Amino acid sequence: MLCGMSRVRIDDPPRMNVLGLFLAAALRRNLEERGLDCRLKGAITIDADGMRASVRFEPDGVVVTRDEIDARVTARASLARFVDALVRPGLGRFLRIKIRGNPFFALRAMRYLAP
Amino acid sequence: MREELERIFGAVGTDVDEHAFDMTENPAHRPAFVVEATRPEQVGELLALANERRVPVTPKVTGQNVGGLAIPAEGGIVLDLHRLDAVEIDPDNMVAWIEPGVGWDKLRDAAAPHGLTLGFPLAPPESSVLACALMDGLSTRAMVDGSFGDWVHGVVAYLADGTRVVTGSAAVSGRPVSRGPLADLTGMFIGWFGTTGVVVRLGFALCPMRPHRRRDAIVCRTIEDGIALMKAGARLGLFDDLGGLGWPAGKWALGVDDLGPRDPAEPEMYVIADYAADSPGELKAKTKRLTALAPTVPIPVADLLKLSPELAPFAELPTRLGFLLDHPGGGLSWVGAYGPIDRMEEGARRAVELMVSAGFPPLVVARVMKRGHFAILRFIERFDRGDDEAVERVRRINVDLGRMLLDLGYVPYKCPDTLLDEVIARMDPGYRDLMLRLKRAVDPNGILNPDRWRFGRESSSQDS
Repeated sequence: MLCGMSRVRIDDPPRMNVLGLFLAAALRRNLEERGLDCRLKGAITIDADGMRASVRFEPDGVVVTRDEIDARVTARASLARFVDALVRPGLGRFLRIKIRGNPFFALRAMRYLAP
Repeated sequence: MREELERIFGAVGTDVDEHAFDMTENPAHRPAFVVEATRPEQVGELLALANERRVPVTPKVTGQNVGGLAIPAEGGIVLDLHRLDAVEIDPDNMVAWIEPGVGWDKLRDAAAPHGLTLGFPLAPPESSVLACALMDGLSTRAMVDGSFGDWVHGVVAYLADGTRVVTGSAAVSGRPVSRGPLADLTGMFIGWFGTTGVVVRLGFALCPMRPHRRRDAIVCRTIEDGIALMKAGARLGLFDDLGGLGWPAGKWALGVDDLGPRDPAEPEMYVIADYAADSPGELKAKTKRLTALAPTVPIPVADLLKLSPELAPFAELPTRLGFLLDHPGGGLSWVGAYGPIDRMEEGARRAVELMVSAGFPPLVVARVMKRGHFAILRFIERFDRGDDEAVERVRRINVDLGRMLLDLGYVPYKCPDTLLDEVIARMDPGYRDLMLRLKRAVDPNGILNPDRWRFGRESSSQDS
């Protein structure tokens, strides 16, 4: 099943930080409104100057969680600048980014986090 | 009375209950009559009648004041002015005559063909420019031009006995080109909350519309970072406004209704920068200057919309902030105050602590006004109007916030009913006595909005 066919869900919305809210907005636009084909399985944690949110791609949908979800994430992306965390991921302008873990997964995941 | 009102207005409204309350925590007061003026002269006729019968009158336009100030006197008359909505632009003198029913969108549209514009508050497009100006509100030109009381060049008003009065230069020339040089009687109607007369026309200053404009958002990790940016920007004179908004606004706008605690790593404030220029080069230079001052790179708000269309209300003003006005609980209240710039950080930080400890998301609004002469701090609560416990909590937090601000030297503006007694208790006795004497001079029977400024409870020491 394609994860894009299911809804994007925010885990515990009252606690979600603004990074996670922006990521969820980008995911909804790409997966639900534009219907981008998404065959990913795994999770990426984005760390932006201390603020973290994780995106877990599952067969039945995508879940955005505050912080790092667990030690088994597929990839981690770190951004040095605070403002990059809020704007660049969604706008697809990663400038200064460090990727750890599976870089191929990270690059594919970024596709769904961009407009 | 009804027959007399029907003679003046043609009809008397039956929707008295709809006018008994507003969106705040303040208690409802049921009026006896609601009338709608369609001609300014009707206002004078009504006041003469009400004065003769000793019936209180509360002027009202859209009822969106967030301080309980449009709640009428029990058993009185609500004078609905929203249908008086004429605008007359004097483009050469950059001023408009406006009636009470003119909203921000209507004045913007009337001014634009003449290459003129104005500042906008975070208020719905249909809300009254005149009412906001008379209550000395603020706008997206607050940093350069100060509060709206300074934009008023004169008024046409009716006193309690129905006497018509014109103030400002128009008192002699008929044209509202300046507030002076006569004795400044315009001030008799600003900040008085409709207790000295009913204003039916107001001379409102406009400003040139510059062809190149930007609205940027600047992410600030702390409130202190945001305030430092506003302070530094104010002295440069380059920006129309730098306005700080606390983190809950962003999350509410993004659709999260029930906010938990802030992630300690996420930004505490967003500063919205408004500025304009006559050429692309000038605009670019201003952006460069702002970038040098700001703790993070300014982001055009239009770019943020690509991320999330829910942020559209922040892109263009006037705007309706649905997350404040249309949320399920329906309740909205705030305390705002003007005061010294050197206590901004302390006031904002203490407000956050008070609000968090009382269980409210700490929505702070902050601005440096009039090129750095004073500051504004405002704290906003959303709540469920149907929940008595929530209403009581809002009342308590507003009193606590108001006292804290007063202790720091801040003075509440559009002073919410909840705080009036506290403000009056701290007033210079001579000032209070002068207010009472002036009130008695223009409204001896106390029919105009009597409980505002507590005029219904006191009389001048000179008269007692």
